[in-house]
Amino acid sequence: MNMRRPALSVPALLAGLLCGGLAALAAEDDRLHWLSNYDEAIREARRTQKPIFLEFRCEP
Amino acid sequence: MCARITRLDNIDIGLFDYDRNNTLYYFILNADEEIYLRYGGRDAWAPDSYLNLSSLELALEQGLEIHGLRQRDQWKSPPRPQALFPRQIPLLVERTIARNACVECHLIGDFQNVQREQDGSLDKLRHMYRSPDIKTLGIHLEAPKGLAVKEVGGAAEAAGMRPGDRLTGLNGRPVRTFGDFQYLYDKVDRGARDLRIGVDRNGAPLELAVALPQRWWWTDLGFRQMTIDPRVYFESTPLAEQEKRSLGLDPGGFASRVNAVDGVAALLKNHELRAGDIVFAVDGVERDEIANTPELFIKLRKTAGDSVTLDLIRGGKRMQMPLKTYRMSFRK
Repeated sequence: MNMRRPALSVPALLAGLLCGGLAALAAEDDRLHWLSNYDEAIREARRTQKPIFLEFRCEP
Repeated sequence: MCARITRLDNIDIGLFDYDRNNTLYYFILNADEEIYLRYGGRDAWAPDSYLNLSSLELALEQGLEIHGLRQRDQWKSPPRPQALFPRQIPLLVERTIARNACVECHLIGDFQNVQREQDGSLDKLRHMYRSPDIKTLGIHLEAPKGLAVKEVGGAAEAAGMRPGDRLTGLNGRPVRTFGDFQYLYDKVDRGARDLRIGVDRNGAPLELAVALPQRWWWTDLGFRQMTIDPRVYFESTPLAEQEKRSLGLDPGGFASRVNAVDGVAALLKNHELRAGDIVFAVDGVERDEIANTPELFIKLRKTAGDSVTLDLIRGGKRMQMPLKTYRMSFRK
């Protein structure tokens, strides 16, 4: 594991999971979209070949 | 790809197994449902003791790194655990799904344990005392740096762990985050005598054999919404063997001095214990192979809602006192 402080911000890393590619990070930084359907997330991950950042939490 | 799940009706909770009393819990996985890592975990002190943006950044970076390895067939997923769905837990179906109520994370944990209690399969050391605290081993992490060790004491220090080490594995399984580590630590057999912790020390991999202290699995259950926990609303400290002998008590028993009584006890009329009382028996039993205090004996050997009789010494006089344990109700 690399212990240096990452150059990317958390939103940027999340955006990386969302759409991939450094060029797209800036554009997506403030536009994270959270899917609420697990099956849809799986389908989308398969289509885009991206990993899923999956959050479990109670209803806010 | 980000997804937020707030209802677990159709989720494979066998795959996404975690301590349901976490307020937030995350997984990074791929479309084949291969889990790369976990991000979460907590202690009794706070729900976010190990959650912060810095360690989240590290976890996200590693998730992306593993995904790249997986795409190049350079990462192998551990075996998928047996599937389990909420509809397979009869009590959960009866109390939530059939009523179209929300299947919340903590409800799953609670109903699983009540179901186990009814089935006779409840193992309190494993199912009630979940997520043992690594600080009991003397491991104090620098939370913003993930698994970087900040301070070491106790069993971990005796095994050779040092500040600056980074935890990398547990019993031969790799860990990337505190969530990974705490999950595997929770899986350790409660009767185990030792475990192997992998560390990185200045780039060199080491494996340390850590001798587990007695009751290493014990954690404060106060923050949990668990209906199987017999609440007693007092805390005590075990007497030294010499003091037990001087009082004519079993030197191998769990006699302890009450050091705190929760005001809830008076409200619920659970008992009338006071600080300074010495409790030396519960229903006539003075010793136990595991419990070192009367409250631990009650939690392990009694069922929530049970009434017991305490033998105690107050002001030098022996007396008996009834205690009624409290069974928590489900929050929803």
